[in-house]
Amino acid sequence: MVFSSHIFLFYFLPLFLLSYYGLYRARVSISWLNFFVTIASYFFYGWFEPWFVILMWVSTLVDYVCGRAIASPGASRLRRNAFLTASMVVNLGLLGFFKYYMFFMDGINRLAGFFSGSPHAFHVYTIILPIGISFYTFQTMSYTIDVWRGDAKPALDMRTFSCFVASFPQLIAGPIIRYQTLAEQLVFRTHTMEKFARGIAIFSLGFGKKILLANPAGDIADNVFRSAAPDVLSAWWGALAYSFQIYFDFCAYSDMAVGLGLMMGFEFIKNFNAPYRAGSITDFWRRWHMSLTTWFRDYLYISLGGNRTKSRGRLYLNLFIVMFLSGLWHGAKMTFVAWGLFHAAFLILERLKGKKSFYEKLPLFFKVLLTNVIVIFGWVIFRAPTMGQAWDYWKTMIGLGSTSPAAALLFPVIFSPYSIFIMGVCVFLCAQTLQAHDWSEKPTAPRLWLSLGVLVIAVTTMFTQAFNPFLYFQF
Amino acid sequence: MNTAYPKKTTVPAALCFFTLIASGGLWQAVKDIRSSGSIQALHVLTDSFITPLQNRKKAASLLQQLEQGVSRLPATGPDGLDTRLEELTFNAGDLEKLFTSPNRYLKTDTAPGSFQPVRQLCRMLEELYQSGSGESVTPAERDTLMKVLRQLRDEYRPVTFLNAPGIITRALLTETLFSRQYLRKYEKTMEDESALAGMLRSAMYYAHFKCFGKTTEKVIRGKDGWLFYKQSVDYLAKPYMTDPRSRSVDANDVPLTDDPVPAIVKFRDQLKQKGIGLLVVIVPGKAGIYPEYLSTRAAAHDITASSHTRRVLSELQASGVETVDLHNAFLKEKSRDIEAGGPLYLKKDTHWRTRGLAIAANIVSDRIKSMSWYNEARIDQEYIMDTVMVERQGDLADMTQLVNPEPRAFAVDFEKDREYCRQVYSVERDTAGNITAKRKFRDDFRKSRVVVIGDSFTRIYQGDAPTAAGWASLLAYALQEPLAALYSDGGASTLVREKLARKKNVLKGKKLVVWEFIERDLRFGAEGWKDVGL
Repeated sequence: MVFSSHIFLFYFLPLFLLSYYGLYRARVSISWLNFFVTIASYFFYGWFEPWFVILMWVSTLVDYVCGRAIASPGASRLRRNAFLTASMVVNLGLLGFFKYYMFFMDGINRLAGFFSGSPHAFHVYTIILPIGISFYTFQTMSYTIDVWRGDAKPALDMRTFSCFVASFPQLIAGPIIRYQTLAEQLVFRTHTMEKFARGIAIFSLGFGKKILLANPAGDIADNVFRSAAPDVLSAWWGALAYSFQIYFDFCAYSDMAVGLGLMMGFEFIKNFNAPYRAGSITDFWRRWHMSLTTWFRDYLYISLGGNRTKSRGRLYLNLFIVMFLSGLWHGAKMTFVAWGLFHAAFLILERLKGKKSFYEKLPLFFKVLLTNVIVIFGWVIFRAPTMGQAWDYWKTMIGLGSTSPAAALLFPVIFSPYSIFIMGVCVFLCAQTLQAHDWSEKPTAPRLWLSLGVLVIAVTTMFTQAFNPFLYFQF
Repeated sequence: MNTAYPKKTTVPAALCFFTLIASGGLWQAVKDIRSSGSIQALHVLTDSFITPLQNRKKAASLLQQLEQGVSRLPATGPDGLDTRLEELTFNAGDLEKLFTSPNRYLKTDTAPGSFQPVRQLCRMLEELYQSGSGESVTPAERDTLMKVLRQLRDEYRPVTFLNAPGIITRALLTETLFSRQYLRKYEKTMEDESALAGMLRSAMYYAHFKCFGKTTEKVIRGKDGWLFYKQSVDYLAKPYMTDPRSRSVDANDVPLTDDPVPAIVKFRDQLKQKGIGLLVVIVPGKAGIYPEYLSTRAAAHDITASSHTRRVLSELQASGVETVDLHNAFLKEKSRDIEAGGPLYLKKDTHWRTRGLAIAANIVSDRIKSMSWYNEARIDQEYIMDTVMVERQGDLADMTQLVNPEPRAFAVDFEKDREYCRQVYSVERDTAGNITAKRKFRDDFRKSRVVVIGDSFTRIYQGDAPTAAGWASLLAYALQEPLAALYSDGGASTLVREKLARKKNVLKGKKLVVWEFIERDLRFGAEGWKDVGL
């Protein structure tokens, strides 16, 4: 089930909240309350694919045991390193197998086909990707690394740790939470009407973003990306629509995760900070999917030497590696890797200018505009099924593609009054400094009721939408 | 700074929020109790804990009946065999259903492995029963059946206190909570049958229409009240069916796997083996002929000249398949719209008007008359035509969900299409030439030399009001000989051929199959373009 689905909103959530606060009122201890959250989260996760619950439990158990072993008093350096390695191997092994096996074997077969002429030298089994595996493996790895570094104490018990891993608000699409930010809340957290109200507000706004903005924008994008030969205007419109879709889709999920967390007394981190207001690509990556970028920064980039490396070449290589892996994290496709490297190229260029863009001297408006143009070209690679199609789309955007006479038939669909209105709202919201997360923290009654109003409209609109994908689920 | 929400706001807001999210389930529960007595949200519990035990009880009873019935089958002589076989066949069918449909949401294609031998033997019983040959069951056959039935009875023992937990656990693991298929179907059913959604949906469709002129995803609103089917536009705007882009995996789309041309060529070969010809008639979509009602930047001639249909037609012609190209004829006739009193298509419907289908009938008729076999063994049948006024609520108007919503307050009046149809009658005359019998056109599978197979473009005005006024009737009128038609809405690509294959002897004495389908079915035909054995 997804947050914007019928079964989650009208069955799972009310039953969960009723039971949770029933237990809270019955003065059940916090660790049993966490246990209840864990069970509910396993049910939530199992609804997608029941048997993968076992996989998540195994991952949780391995990291809990490794965390305890690393932090056990008197543990030798060898033992600590061994358990850290075990945790990395298991987590990366699971991720590597389920996510990259088919990609890897496809590459092997292509190579074999190049030499032998037979493109199916090796049989490739079909592996179903467990939903959210990229998120929860990174989350649990951060735990063992932090314990090893001494930045976090090990979890008190398996109940507490399971809750950290499996907590359904952020389980399948983030934000990726660090254990030390949640450790205290797992032991003690307040349940106040104010928190609950903030949770309602931010959840409602997230729900509205998903249904009212991301889905219609996605519909426009799909119509253009799937057409045979759109014209220049349609190509730009479609690419812009996809930029809005991916942002509002993912940001919506993060907002809903934060909102649901607040309803349970948890305070999660913000995951986006107005990324389309960035004035450079470096700035963009400080604002986009912050939980993932900080994860890569803290656990990979810094480990490789970070900014303190003596050699400039080594610094650029570190950036290249991080962005390569960041692209690969999104999926086992060349387009994701290419997208990561596309951004790596611009990050390196900006490093050459001291983390400044080559259009730094322009007025803010043009800096933001040019940054968004670069980002939009990047999203085209991200969206396209193949590199060839991405290249063709780019050519169309710059006027070098051919246009089919039938392309104009899509105009009433993609340039309908409703589409233009939605895109206008998207532009307006992206241009704001005030984000939903911050907006809901400044408490006024009108804001709370407005949020609920957005929820009502979004729920009613949800009933009319056949198109309701969740993009980041595929990662 | 005060960081707290005002208390007089938070409690009502929380209550309001909780009421909203609980309303869906509660409303549904009330509706379920009133209508069926069982609450849909609890089905997962009943299917997990009660239904498996009920199924086991029924299975044990059916197995016992089968065993008793088989043991009483006469070893020699057919007396009473038919009745017993019929009963055994029904019992076996019921047993099979228990395995393949264990609950209301799960349907499996195959029963568990242990059931396969019984299924095969039950097929044998059914064949014996159907053959009506009076053959008896041999002792060896009876013994084999008994052996398998005993094995099944051992495996599926009646419910007891001891085996009930095992039965329930097995059901949980394979039929309900650990079955992905069950969970997806259950979730979808809850969404589709939601009482709250049904009530609010109409209001939102109405609001969207009034504020933005927006309709559902299936319909595109054109100019001057024209409505277009989104699939027809997608067919023209998307890449060719065998283009790698149509075949590549898109996270939000289903890649195409079928190629219509080989399927059509194979069908031609199958008919050729029976001495029957094939004539393929691809109907142009409304969006390709009247694109100006969608966008002034679209030109009909340019669109049809480069359309995928052109490519398919040329590939079929290169393979020796006889085809009829209606595009040029329609584009030419379009220029006479004002003079002819209306366009070739219905404004609020996906289908053609009488003018359009009459053009198709005349072109196909001329083509048939030029075929070498035409004058051989021809059966004459006189047909005449009457005109009849028809008022039609377009299918596209229906798809907007605004024509008959609940409540009626959210209805939008889409003006109905009106036109004069040409209804065809077969007549018999006396020697003086007076009409002695006049009947509406009816399919004549026995006498006809030509069979038309098609989709809803064949059904319109033929199978629905006013009947006998569709293009098949007009073709019969143009040929003045008996004709028969089969159609399947949206299913001309594969389903109508399956329908043809199921009808025994329908191709006996036939010279030609005329295969009509709308061009968008080349991409979107229901069930794709599969091989169908004739």
